Amino acid sequence: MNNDNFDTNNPDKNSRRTFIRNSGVALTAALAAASTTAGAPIDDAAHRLAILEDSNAIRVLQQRCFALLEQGAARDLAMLFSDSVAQASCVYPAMQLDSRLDTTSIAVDSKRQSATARFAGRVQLGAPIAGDSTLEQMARMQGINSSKRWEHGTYEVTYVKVQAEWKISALTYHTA
Amino acid sequence: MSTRNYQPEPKHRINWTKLSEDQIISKLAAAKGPTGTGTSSTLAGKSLKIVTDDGPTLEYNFRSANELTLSENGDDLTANYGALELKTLLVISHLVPDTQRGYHVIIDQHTNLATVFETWFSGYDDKRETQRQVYYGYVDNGGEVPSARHHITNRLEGKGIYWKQDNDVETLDFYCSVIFSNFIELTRAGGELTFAGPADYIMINDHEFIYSRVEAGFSGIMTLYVLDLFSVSQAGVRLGFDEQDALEYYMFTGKGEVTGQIATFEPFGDNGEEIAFGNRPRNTEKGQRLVYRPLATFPVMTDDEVRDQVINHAHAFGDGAGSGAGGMGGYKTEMVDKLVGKSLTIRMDNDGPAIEYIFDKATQLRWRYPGDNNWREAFYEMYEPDEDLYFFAHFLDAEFPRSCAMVALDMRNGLSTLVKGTTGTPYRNNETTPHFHFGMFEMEGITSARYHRHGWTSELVGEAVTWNYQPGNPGLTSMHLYATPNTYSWIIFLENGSGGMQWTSPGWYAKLRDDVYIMAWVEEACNGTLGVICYNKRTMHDAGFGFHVGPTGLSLSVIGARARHAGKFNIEKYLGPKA
Repeated sequence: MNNDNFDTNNPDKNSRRTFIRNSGVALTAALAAASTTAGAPIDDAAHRLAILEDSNAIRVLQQRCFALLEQGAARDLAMLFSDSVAQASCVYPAMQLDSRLDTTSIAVDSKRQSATARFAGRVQLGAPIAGDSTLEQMARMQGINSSKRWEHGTYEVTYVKVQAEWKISALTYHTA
Repeated sequence: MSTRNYQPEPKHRINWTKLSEDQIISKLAAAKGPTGTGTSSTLAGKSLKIVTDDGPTLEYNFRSANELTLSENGDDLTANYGALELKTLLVISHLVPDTQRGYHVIIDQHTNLATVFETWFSGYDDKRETQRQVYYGYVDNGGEVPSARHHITNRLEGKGIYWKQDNDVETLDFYCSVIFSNFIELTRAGGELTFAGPADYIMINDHEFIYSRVEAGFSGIMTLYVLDLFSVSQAGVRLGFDEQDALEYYMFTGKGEVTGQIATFEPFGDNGEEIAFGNRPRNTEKGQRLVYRPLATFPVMTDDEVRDQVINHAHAFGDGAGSGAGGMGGYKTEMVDKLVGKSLTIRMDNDGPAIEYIFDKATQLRWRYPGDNNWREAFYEMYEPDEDLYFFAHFLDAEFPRSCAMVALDMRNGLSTLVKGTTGTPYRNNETTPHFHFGMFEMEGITSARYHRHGWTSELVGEAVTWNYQPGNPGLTSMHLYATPNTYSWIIFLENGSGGMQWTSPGWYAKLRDDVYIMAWVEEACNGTLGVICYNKRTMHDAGFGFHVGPTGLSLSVIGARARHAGKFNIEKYLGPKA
C-alpha cells in the first residue's frame, strides 16, 4: 500500500501532527484576523474563536475517520457518523487526506450546528480481478481479489453536531 | 558420464498412473532405506531426542550406520536410515515401516536446532503425490530449551543454482518465489523445458537453507535438500515414484554454481517469515499448502463442442468495438491506423503462407490467400511496439480448425513474421498451437530485404521480466522467466511483492530487431491459451494478443503491459544439445 503522506503505524501520531500543523495555520490566520478587527465586540471574537475550534474539531474528526477506516476499526468508525445512512456513504476501502495541499475549506454555519467541508485527498480503488486467464485465477487463489490503486480527488463532507459533538452526516468523493 | 535423456513425453503430457494405496505400501515395504552413496556413519551408536513445536517428539537410537530404532511419541519401531553431513548440518532420512510415512530430519549441530519433514503418501486424490508437514524444534540434550527456531524465509528468493549431484544428475533450480520453484532437468529430461512445483524455503542461517519441492500434478516426487551458499554444496533426499512408477528413494550430495540473483520485490525489512496470503484463509490442516493444479480446472471438450464454439461463438476484439482495457490489456498502447487505405501481401519463406491484405478501417481489414477469388472481412487491431514496426492480429476463418494470424510488419526492412495460431493439439482439442513463419512483405513504396530475416533467438534466455497488466500493486502482475529457448515460467506476486504461485509452459522466441522480440507461449495442460507478445526492451513495453478456445467461445484479445527488468540468470552454457 502506498502511504507516502500517512503514518500507518501510528495514525494517532499522524493525526496529532496534522492537527498541530493545521491548528497552527488556523490560529495564525485567526490572530491576523483578530488584529484587523481590534475593538470589535468581545462576543464576536468569541464566536469566531468558537468557529475556529469547530473547524479544527472537524479536521481531527476527518483524520480520525480515515485512520479508523484504514485500521478496520468498524465499531469506533461507526461512532463518527450521525447515523447508519451517513456511514454507508463511506464506501472506499481506504481514504487519506492530502495534507500537502492547501485545498481545505471548512464552513461552519452561524449557529454552529452544521458544517460543510472540502478536502483534497485520495481513495484506494479496488478493481475486481474477475477474468479467467491463468494470471487472474492464480492471483485470486493466493488471496488477491482486486487490483488496488490510489486515486487523487476531492472529498465533500457534511457534518452535524449531535449532543455537542461533530458527526459526519455525508461523505462524497469526486475524482480530480 | 552425464547424458541428455530426452523423454518421449514431457512431464505435463505423461498420463501418470493413479497408484493405489496398496501399490504404494507394497513399493515402500520393498525399500531397505534410502540408497545413494556416501552415507555418514557419524550417528552409529548414538542416541538423539528431537522435540518439535506442535509436532512429534522423536527419540532415536542409531544401532549402526544404517539401522535405527525410533520411539515416536512412545511407539517403538526399527528402520533403515541414511545420513549425510554438510559441514555442521546433518540430514537423516528413514521411512516408518508398515506405513506410508517417513521422517527427514535436518539438524544444525552447531545450534542444536532441528527441522523435521514428516512425509506420507495417499494424502491427496492423486495418492502418489508426496505430502509433507514441517515441524521446527531442537535436539533435547537435557539442557536449556533454545528459543530460536529455523523458519521460513524469502532470503533464497531470486537465486538460481546449477546443481550436479553425486549420481551425475544435473539440474538448474530457480528459487523465484517463496512458495514455489521451477527447475530444469538437464540430464533426466534433456533440459528443454522447465517445470514448477510447490516449494518450502527454510532458513538455518544467512548462508545455509533447507529447500524442498514436490512435483505436484506430475510424478509427485519430493526433492529435499540442505544447501550451503558458502561452498555451494547440497545434501538431501529424493522420495517418490518415477515415470515407470518405481520408487525413487535415495540420498545425494551435490556441488553447484550460482547462476544468478534476480531482483525481489518485497518492502525492505520483509524477510518472508510469514507468507502474505492476503484474503486467503490460512492453512490449518496437516500438510495443507497452496498448490496450483491447472489440469484439474482445464475443461475437457468434445470435438463437436469445440467446433460449435469456434464457428458460432468466435469474437475478435469485441467484434470490432475494441478490446477494452480490462484483464491483460490494461496498458495497451494507442492503436495504429497508418495502414488504413493501403494494401500489402505478406509472403513467408519455405512455402509458408502468403496473405493479401486491404486495410479498410482502423479495426477492419480484408484478407485472402493468393489465388482466392473472394476477400474475407475480419476485425483486427494493430499496434506499434517499435518505431515503424507494426503488430496486428485477426482471425483466419476460411479453414478448420480455426486459426488466427498475428503479423509483425517491419516497415524499415520490409520484413514480416507471421505467428499463425491454430486450435487443437495432439493432446487436447481446446488447446492452441503456434506456427512461426519468417518472411517479407510486398507493398507500394517498400523494397524488402532479400536475404535478411527475423529469426529464432536465445538472447532472452535467463532473463526475468515483470509484467504489470493493470494499475495496482501487485494487482495483475506476473514475472516471466525465460528459462530456455523452448520454455518459460510465470510467477504471480503475493500481496507483499513476494513471488507466489508459479507455472510453466513451452515458449518460442524470435528476434525482430535489436532489443525487440516476439515471445510466444501456450498454456499447455493448463488452459490452452496462446499468448504472443512483441516485447521492446527499450520501452519495456509490449504489444500482444491472446488466442483462446474454451466453453465460452473462441477469442482473440489484446495484451498490453508495462515491464521491469528483474535480472538475468547466466544459464545458456548449460542448455542446448550436448555432445
